[in-house]
Amino acid sequence: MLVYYSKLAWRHILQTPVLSLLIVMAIALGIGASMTMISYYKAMAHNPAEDRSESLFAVQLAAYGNDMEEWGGRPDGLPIQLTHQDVKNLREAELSFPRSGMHQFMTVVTSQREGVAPTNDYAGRFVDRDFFNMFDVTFLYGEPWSTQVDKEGEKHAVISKSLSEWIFGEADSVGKTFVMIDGEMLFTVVGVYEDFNPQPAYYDLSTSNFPSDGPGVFLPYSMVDTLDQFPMGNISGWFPEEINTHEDLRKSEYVWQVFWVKLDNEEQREQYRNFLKAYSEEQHSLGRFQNPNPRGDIKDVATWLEYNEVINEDNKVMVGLSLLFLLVCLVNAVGLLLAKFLRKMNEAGIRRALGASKRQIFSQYLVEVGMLGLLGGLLGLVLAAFGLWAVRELYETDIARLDPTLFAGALALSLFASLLTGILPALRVCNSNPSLFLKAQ
Amino acid sequence: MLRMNKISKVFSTDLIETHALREFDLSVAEGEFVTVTGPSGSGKTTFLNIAGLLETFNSGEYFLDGEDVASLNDRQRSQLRNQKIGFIFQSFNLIPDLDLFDNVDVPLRYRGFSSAERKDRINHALERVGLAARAKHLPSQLSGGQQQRVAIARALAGEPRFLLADEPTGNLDSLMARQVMELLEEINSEGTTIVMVTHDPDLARRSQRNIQIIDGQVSDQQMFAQAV
Repeated sequence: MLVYYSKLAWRHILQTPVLSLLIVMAIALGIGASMTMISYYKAMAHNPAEDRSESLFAVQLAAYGNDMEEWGGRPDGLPIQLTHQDVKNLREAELSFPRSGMHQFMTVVTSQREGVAPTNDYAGRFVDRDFFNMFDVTFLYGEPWSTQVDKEGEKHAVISKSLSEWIFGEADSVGKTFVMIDGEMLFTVVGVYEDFNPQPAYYDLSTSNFPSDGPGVFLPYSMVDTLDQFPMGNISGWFPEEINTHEDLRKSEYVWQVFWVKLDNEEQREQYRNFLKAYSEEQHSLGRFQNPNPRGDIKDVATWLEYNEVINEDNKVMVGLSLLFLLVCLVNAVGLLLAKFLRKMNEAGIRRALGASKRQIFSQYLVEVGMLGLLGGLLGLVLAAFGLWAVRELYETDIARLDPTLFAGALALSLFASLLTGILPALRVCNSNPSLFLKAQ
Repeated sequence: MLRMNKISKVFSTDLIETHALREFDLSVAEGEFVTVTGPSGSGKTTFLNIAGLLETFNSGEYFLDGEDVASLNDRQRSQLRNQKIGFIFQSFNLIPDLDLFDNVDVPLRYRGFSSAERKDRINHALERVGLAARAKHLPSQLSGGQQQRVAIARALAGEPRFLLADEPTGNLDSLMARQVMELLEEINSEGTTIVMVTHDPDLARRSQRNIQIIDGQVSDQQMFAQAV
């Protein structure tokens, strides 16, 4: 009977094109708006660390003082960045856990190809070699620099496939050298990675949560002191300091770097917490960390994303509003469906007289509603794709795309919503007294 | 075939109650051709709707082919209607956007016949009313008489044992009315029980028995000479 009902439904849809189109549009607008917001929200709520989420920890220190109760604007009064001197100390601590200090910079890279602009700006990032494993950077060629380089520093670079192709015209550039930083420093490529741009960029939320491009080049953190690259990102201080040179910044109490550590079990976490406590107290005794409660903390990725309000309340409100809008659209669709189905009361009466049960009439009209819902869902997806394109353009970000889950989800939602919408009109039709219509024609 | 005992039907609104049938008694034997006459508003159509299981009643008993219909739910009533009752209406009640084939197909769909059997039955029914060649025409492309013949084909396709006709010739000219009446007589002669509401005394006389309804009750019955 489903095939029969579907044929009848399609015929009815074609017979009332304007009403059918209005119903499809009402459903499509609701689905389009809600799916746009849900997709955007889902993209922002995504935890890109996945199974590594519970073993990667951002480190925080109460690196401020002089009787300040708290600093940094966070609930626990801890800034999300660290001073250079603290990152340096944490890196050099005698602990065997994988770890990486980091900060972002912008640099001018020189191409060796003809026919392209000779130089271009790229985002670079100082990291330790553990970074690549901790944050799951996929190497296409070569490997990270050595542990020795992590300690002593050397002009080694790990670059993205896109940058490699831009500089050399080929992806595999391991062993080759290129010019970067002030057009005069020569770096050797030791590794090439698949372009890396997790969304949100959880490894450093002090810059942009959703950057349109990932880093083009990674350099050894051990070169921070040598290369004098000012950070591209947030710099905060709890008291004013005069900064004229990169060295001033490195020695200052300004926070501008980030530090992550990989801790695989609770025992390691406890050990690291104790280490941070001891470190804070040591710094306090040395005259730093003069706040009433010198302390440190570690936060896993999920906590870190929440702590940094990657998804803010506005987004949640927008999702709520878009669902309300869907509800309004569905209420409109109920009215339109009633108008559409009331025209078919006579036919329903004839079918009842010829042996159709109420349930069969109900099913027939629900199939029609389901078809309208699916059409509305498909059109809604087109609108959602347009909405997400607008979001990407507006916020200059690459997040929020329709994935297969959302595609299926949108169709399921529109089918469910339309069936819900169709219950009342279909009940009206199937519960009407057929004899009223049979005599009246 | 049909037995009604003290059937009452009341239509109620906030302001008034209308007694459409009052303690209505009627029996129709298998194979009978009964006409029902009476003034407008006397309860003829209400009787027909109750007989055809399209309306429920407030009190009394109704047995159709020995089955007490009062105890049946909607699905069972629909099934019984589909299997045993054929309807013919004054205004034909064909579905305007379905061609003749699909119109005749409607009751068969709810019967659950296979596609091949439905096709056989539809072709046979349309042949019987002389419209097989126009199976793909829409009702609007036919005359009133032809439309009523399609409605009869639709009623016959399921081979019902009981045919209910509500003024089937009311919208037809005398020639077409006669043709339709002859077709009904032929169907009755093959054993199908027919109850027909009519205003036309000439048609009433062509049946075996005429029942007159006034104020929701059988006021008079007349037997005619025609043999079954």
